[in-house]
Amino acid sequence: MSEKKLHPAIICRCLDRTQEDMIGAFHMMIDFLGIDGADINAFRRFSWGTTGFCQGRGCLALMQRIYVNEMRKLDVRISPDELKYKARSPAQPVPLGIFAKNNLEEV
Amino acid sequence: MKVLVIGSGTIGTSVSQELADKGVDVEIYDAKYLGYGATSRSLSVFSVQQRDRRLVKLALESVELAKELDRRLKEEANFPIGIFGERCPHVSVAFTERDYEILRDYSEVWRSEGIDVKDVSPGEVKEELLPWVDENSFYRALVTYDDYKAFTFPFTLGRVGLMRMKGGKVYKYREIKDFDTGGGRIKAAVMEDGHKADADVFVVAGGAKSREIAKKLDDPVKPIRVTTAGGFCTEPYKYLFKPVITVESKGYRLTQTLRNEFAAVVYDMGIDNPSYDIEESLRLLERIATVTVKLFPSFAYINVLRQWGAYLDYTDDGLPIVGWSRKYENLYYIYGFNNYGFSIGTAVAARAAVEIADGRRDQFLEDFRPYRE
Ligand SMILES: Cc1cc2nc3c(=O)[nH]c(=O)nc-3n(C[C@H](O)[C@H](O)[C@H](O)COP(=O)(O)OP(=O)(O)OC[C@H]3O[C@@H](n4cnc5c(N)ncnc54)[C@H](O)[C@@H]3O)c2cc1C
Repeated sequence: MSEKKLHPAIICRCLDRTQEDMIGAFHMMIDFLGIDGADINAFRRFSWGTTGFCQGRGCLALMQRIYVNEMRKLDVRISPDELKYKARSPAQPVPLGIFAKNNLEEV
Repeated sequence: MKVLVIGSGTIGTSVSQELADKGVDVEIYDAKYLGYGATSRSLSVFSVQQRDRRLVKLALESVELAKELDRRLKEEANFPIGIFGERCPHVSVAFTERDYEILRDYSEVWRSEGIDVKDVSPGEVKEELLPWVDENSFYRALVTYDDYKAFTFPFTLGRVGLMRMKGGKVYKYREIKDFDTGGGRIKAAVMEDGHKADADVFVVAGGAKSREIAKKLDDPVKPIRVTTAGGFCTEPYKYLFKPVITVESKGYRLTQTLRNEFAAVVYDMGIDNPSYDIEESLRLLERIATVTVKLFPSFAYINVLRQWGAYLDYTDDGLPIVGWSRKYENLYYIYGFNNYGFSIGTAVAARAAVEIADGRRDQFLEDFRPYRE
């Protein structure tokens, strides 16, 4: 086994995905959607990066970098605009009970 | 024959894949990324709990077609994960006697199509299906056993893969802004940058935004109501929570997804959403949290990881809009899927593809035509 595999670069700590996993997912996305259908959102969905506990707080920049690099290898230049990704609230995990009202009539 | 499909939601991708299977040359254009609209914000349960017999029939038909799609994706496209889950109980909860009466009326519709419906007390729900539920929190429930959970993105993007294997094309971030028309036909779809795409047939599968397209074309199709919806998901837990829970009176649905997260949605806040807003909102979160914690008090401790907003296209008679335009002979509409685009979309799309490709009229779709009163 190569050095690289013994010490893989972890991209997504939440779901334990390595750089190789992510690149594999990138190519699966390209196979399925083609370059014209692929984008950063589809990459998230094929790789599950940014969808774990951290919701991208830990991995988004790394995911974007992989996306740009792999696209470049396919001769596609990615503009920052195409990397747009909407971070959703809450900013960190919040227990559901905090949002619950006492009465159903209030909601 | 070349067909241009506007919209890559579950409906647009389904029609496109069915057309590609028939040897039609298909291109999908989406204004945003693939599956952007209601589709990527959905709970995507295939449910037989519909309010109309025709919809229940289509829901049953969709399940069979989706199982076949699941098989094809694995066998023909080497898709690594399943897109369709196992059969699961669907518990429709009535908080009050009045809710119960309304639900009982709906359940007559389900029964009339041969669906097995159980009318159960809160104690029975707790004992047989949901040990987490507070049996004092609701009045009664109706349970069916013919629903399925789908895997939202793989379901939609997998279809794109199958379509592309047959030569279909798909373009993201290409909004159709206008049309070249003449002689009662659409000649080309026009994009923001002036780029034009021609085709023999144009299919409008733009979800709620289809109404903007019809408006642009000055085509007097049946109006739709666009409402606010949305949802949230939690961190993943061991998969133990199989049933789908619906509280129709609150437009609320909850289940543990095939990704093991709990996801809960409101599919109708009863608020109009004319600007197609997808921002998350506290009001929506409060409704979902309140209903969830009322039914399952221990869920107050589950962490919410992400919430989202959505818009949905409702029709006043509760039926979708499917069929040829009267104004432009090569324009076909397929939208207005209320809160059941996944439940019946697969069957409707398959039937629509036959109408589009073979020019035959499907009797079953006659009640869904775009100009009905
Ligand atoms: C919170 C929520 C929960 C739900 N739960 C369920 C459920 O459990 N079961 C179920 O069956 N259904 C459910 N639904 C409903 C279901 O998701 C929808 O009915 C379905 O996704 C509609 O699909 P669509 O393809 O018609 O529209 P959309 O998914 O909205 O797709 C339309 C696409 O068209 C594109 N578009 C629009 N205009 C243009 C244009 N001019 N040019 C190019 N592209 C354009 C949009 O960008 C969009 O991507 C739920 C919906 C929501 C919001």
